[in-house]
Amino acid sequence: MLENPATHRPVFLRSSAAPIRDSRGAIAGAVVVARDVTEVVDLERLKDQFIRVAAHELKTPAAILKGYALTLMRTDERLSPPSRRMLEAIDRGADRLNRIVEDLVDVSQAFLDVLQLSPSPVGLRELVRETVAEVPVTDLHRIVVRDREGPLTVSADPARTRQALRILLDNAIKYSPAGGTIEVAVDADSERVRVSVRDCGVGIPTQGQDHIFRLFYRAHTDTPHDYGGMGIGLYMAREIIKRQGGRIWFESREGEGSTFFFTLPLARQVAAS
Amino acid sequence: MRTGTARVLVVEDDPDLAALEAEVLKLRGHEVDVASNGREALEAVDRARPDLILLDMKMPVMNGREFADEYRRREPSTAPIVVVTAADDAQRRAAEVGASGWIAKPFDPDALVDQVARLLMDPSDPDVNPRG
Repeated sequence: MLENPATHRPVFLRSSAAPIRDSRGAIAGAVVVARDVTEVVDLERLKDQFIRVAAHELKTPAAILKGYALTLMRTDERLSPPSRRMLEAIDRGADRLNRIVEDLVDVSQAFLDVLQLSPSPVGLRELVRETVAEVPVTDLHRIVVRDREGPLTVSADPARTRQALRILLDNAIKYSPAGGTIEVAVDADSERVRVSVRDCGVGIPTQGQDHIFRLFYRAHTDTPHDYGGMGIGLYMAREIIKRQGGRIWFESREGEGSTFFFTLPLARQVAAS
Repeated sequence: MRTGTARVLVVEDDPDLAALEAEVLKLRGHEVDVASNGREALEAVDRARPDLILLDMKMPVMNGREFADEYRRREPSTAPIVVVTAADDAQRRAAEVGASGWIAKPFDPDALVDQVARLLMDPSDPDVNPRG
């Protein structure tokens, strides 16, 4: 290990190399450039540490908000309907706070390349149906699922895959402010399962389409359809799908809605030996 | 221990959260003691033996892990522990201290009381029975 003689700390190097050729094209030597990136690595770790500490500290107040709101709702029988709605809003606010905190932790882990994925055999049809059932339905939106008979088993981390699908579903609702039907379809060929989420919402502006999977990029910033958010969801969804051997993409036209697709490889049937 | 109800020790340094956990458990008829760190929890265990312990991990003076180690060292037979933590790897934290269950903050109080009920009902759980 290389050590900085002044600080006695390990040094991180990012290196690149290229051959040096003589006049006949034979390799005569090489040039190697090593750049000291210790400060960059230190800064990344410091950022991760900060996010972890902040996340930990924010979860306790979120637990207090959620816990008391739910307990009041369940124990006070004289609660008026408006008071009940206020408590429900506090509960939702606590959930949202928690999701933001978890997103930040996830992004930090994805950035440091330490995102935890524990693959196991998962029935994707069931996973899709369960995830759709968890989405809070509004009076405006309806989610329909189209899938096909038979097992569609993939090898994936169930919680992370749910998270990726949930991001697409939440976006579909968020960017369909006028309401409408959101269509979720599950198809498969012999190699992979394909899931799609289609909405009839505001669509993605053409100039933003190349960037929407980029971390912190928000296609609707400063447009009438800026419904908030941090630009984390699609980045995370892509990281999760990519790391499980899948692909994620979309088709969209501004004003006509968007369809997001992702694939995951079907689990191979392993013959019993 | 009366059927269905028990003596639960809540170990949590945040007073509002400790009060919440105590409140929802009392509503279900449990007797509750509260300690705000591992050191106080050891004293509480000496005073009145709990049937179950809800344990926060990150606490001043003595943290959850140190408490669990010391508690097991002292007691021949220990109550099951449920780790209640804000750490993003709650399940691993629980496994590290040999806990019988875990709850990630923030949580639905019903999930907490349900888990307590389940652990009190299931005597086959290895942690409920005396060790060695």
